[in-house]
Amino acid sequence: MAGLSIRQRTNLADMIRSQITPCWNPPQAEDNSGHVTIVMRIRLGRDGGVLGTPALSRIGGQTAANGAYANALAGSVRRAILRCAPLRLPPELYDAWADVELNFDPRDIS
Amino acid sequence: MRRSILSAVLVPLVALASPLRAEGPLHVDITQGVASPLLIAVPDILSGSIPDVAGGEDAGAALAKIVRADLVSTGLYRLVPFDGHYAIADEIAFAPFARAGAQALVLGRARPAGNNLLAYDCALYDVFGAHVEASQRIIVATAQWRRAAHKCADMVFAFTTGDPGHFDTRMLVAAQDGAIPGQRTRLVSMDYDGANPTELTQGKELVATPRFGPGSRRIVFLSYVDAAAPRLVVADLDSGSTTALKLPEGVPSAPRFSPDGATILFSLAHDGDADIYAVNLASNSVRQLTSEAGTDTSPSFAPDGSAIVFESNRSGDSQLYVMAPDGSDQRRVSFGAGGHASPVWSPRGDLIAFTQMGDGALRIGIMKPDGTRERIITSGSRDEDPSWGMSGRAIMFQRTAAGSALPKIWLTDLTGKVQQPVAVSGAASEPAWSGKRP
Amino acid sequence: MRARWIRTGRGLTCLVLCGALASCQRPTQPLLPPPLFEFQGPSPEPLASRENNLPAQEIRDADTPATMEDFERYAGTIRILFGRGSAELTPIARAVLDRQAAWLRAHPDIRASLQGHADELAPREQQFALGEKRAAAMKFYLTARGVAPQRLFVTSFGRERPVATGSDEASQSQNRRGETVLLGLPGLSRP
Repeated sequence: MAGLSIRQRTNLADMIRSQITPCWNPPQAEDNSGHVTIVMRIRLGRDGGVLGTPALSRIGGQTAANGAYANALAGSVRRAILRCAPLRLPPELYDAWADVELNFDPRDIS
Repeated sequence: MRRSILSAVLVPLVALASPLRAEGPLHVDITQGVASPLLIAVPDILSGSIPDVAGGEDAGAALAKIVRADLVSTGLYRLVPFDGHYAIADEIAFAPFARAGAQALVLGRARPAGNNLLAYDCALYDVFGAHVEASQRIIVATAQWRRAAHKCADMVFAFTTGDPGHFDTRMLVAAQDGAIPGQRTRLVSMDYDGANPTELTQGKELVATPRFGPGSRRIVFLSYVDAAAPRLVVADLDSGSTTALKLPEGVPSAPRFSPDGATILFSLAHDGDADIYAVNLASNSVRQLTSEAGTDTSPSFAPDGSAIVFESNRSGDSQLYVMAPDGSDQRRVSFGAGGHASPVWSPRGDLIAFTQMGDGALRIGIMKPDGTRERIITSGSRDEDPSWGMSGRAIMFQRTAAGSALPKIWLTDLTGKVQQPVAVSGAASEPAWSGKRP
Repeated sequence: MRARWIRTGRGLTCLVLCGALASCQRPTQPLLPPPLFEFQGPSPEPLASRENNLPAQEIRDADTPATMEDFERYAGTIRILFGRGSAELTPIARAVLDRQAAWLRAHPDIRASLQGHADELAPREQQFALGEKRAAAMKFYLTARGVAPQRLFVTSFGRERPVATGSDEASQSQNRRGETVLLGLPGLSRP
């Protein structure tokens, strides 16, 4: 795997973030929804398409009270990834973005 | 889990050395999205005519139409138009819906299920992932065929928002006939969208302030069977039995059930003073909760029973107050512009809806239970009597246009951007929206 | 503040008030007709001492039966009007209530329902309380004019029985009213 500078990694993360953000339509959170975060692991093909099914690797902040909200949030995350694919990323750095972990955190959504 | 902790530790270290080897997956934090309606397609899947369903129209098309109307009314979905239709046995490809921009797809297949039953197979698909997110076989009596569509929409709503849907519910209204004076008032129950009206009283006596208990089968209202002495009447819609509550002397009004259905809060006016009371329905014991001079009215419990919001003019104009269930710890919570009245606590507990008075108009507003984040969400000249849907995402209210217009029932989302009249014939006021139907 | 427990003192004869409620889905047993309301408490007092002072012949002669029409003819109107949001009796209202009191004193066997109403310009629930406040003010005044309080029954219709619709002030001012409706007249149907 090619070595990457911090700047290259940051730029790649920015490119992915800027492409997925417009596709993410999270459910409306309310006071009793708590702070739920979803981590998804995806594998990307060289064309930027998602290989296989996005795997949910972690749900943070899930409680007995907000389970339905967390499920809806996970659904919105899965849709966001699939809706935005294929991602447009620099092919020469494919090794660096073949395996991506996306941490969806709705904290900045008003 | 281990990987992310590792990377968190690594980041400060790698800042020192560059270039470096990529370790594991690339991490991307996404903290913003675009809160916009979910793009959804609900194509017609033709079933042919099914006896006692949709008046002989194609049942599948009629059901899909109701599902679409339910979802769009919330403002949380935008329909992706789809010309054409499918047959019930068709394989349905996702590609055309993906191309049209749909994120979600709802497919409902209707079939007769024998014995006057209708089966409706309702499935929610993720268009891009091409997989089923939720599915359900809904069986209803053919006479209640509309409920199949409402239950399907409820499933879609629950899976995409995390909140229970409010579509398979009932509504009570006070319907008015005839001219003023001498107008008659009937209590009518109907589906939340105005379909299937049932007349509960025949207009012989005045009825007012109907309210549902928990669920949809018990109601309370103010009855003027004897005009000289109005009573609070509790009715069971299954048995038809009615019970007038035995209350202390005075004029009762503004009844509302507690979340457990065991108690009814109300306002009792006597000698020019109105206070909040609670009556226990099992023991018929009556407890006075407020005693300030002035008008205390419109009590409404928080859904967890931990507090009561009510309206009082003790400070001059009408404002909202919150107190403990025993009447202690009364404190004012509304400080926005104008007067505040008719508070109702959301079934989610996170908001209170109310009627705002100002500039000669009545409007519907919402606020958090501590009074912050107040928003006025309607802009009619007389919008009042808010009632929550069980999702906590929609409010029914009464709108009376200026002049001598008849009052009508309207439905709004919480932003106020999506509002529509409910199809109730004639003049109707005081909507009360039920909880879950059995 | 302390909450107080109150036991209802006035027992009603019939707990099950069988209103004309139809069942939604299942057929139900036939419902009983609603019982007539029975007023509790002692019968009206004769009020002889005060009412003997009245010029009774001015109010009625022997041939005039006690009717709603006679009451209205004598008092001029059964209806008084209030200011917006107010339960204060205006001079005109007091004059009307003076005449109503005189008629009621002359007919000690007649009882009256004092019915407070409110306009449609304020939210519904608080208008029930305002209507009651208006009717209570009428009762207070009539009592001070010698009508026994046991003969007067306060009720409120809130804004549910408007006489004028329309959002303009002229219409709504007609709805801020108190009405005196006679009870217990022979042959009078319930109000």
